Amino acid sequence: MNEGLYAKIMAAVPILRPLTRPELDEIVAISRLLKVGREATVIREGEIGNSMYIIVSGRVRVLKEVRAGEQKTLATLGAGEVFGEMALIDRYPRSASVVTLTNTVLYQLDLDRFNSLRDAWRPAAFKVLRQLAPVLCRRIRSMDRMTGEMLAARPEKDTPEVRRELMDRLKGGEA
Amino acid sequence: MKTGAMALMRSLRLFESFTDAELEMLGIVFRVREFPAGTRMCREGFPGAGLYIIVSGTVDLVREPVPGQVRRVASQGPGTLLGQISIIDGSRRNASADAVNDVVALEMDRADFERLFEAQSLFAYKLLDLILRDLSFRLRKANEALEEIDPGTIRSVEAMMSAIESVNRVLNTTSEMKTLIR
Repeated sequence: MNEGLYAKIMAAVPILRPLTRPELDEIVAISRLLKVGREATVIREGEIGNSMYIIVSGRVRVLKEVRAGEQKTLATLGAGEVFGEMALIDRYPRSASVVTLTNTVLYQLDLDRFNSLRDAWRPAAFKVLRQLAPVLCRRIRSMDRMTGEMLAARPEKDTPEVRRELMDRLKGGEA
Repeated sequence: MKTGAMALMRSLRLFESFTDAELEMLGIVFRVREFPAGTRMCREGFPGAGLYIIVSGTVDLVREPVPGQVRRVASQGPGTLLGQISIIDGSRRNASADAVNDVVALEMDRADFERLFEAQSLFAYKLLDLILRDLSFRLRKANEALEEIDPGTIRSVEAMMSAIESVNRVLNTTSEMKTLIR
């Protein structure tokens, strides 16, 4: 990895910032270099994620479905930035889609390969996990709060409208 | 260090790969806490003091979203952790914990956990590993339970509420960690 990309990653990616240079090299060493054309879907919302990606060059859009068939751009990301990082903890459904805007070069890091560092108790893995842990906590707390509030405000009427409202709230507030 | 903590740590599988000297060091950050039956170990909405490893006894997690409306969200026993989320992100307790019978637990402060982690202690890594496995299991199970709630099969508010309750219970149920206790 060249100095320019290293500096960009350190500036742009909080979850990788605690890593020393050799530790980041350790992460990169188990990653695959991936080249994709423009308008390619790298990850798809709702699909189970297996990898995290670091952008080496190019730009991508992060998209989320707000209503059936209607997507909203949440962010655009460029060199040195990461996406899909929750896949380093476990296989979860992706919370958003990522589509390339330009020809893009990525480092793809699979959960299985990351887990080999985790199983060996490598500081590189645990420093990254320490950064991801609060995100996991936030998701649990938000789902817990939503379901807790719904249980505390149990509707008195039972109509299709009430059921639909509950369903929308449940699915819309998904972590 | 207190001999009590040392003896309790030796009874836990989590500590088995550590030498006596390392346990002495870890003993400094753990306190033995005894909670008689009926006492409240921590309070919903208050800053989380730290992490408990429950060694013996049973703990009920309860919530009171509206004064007087108390709901038991989960119950946990020996070989479980309490306060994982608070020790990770410093957030307030999302439930109160009550000792159902006499409870013995090891307690660790968040600041001590951070210090051990910064020092790249294997123990801190093992603890984080356990906590993450527990939390990610809960989130995965809750996502699955949420997926199963389907408008096609759920035909009453009653049924929907009980489905929501099961999602909430899964989120709050700590798995017993076989790597934690013998």
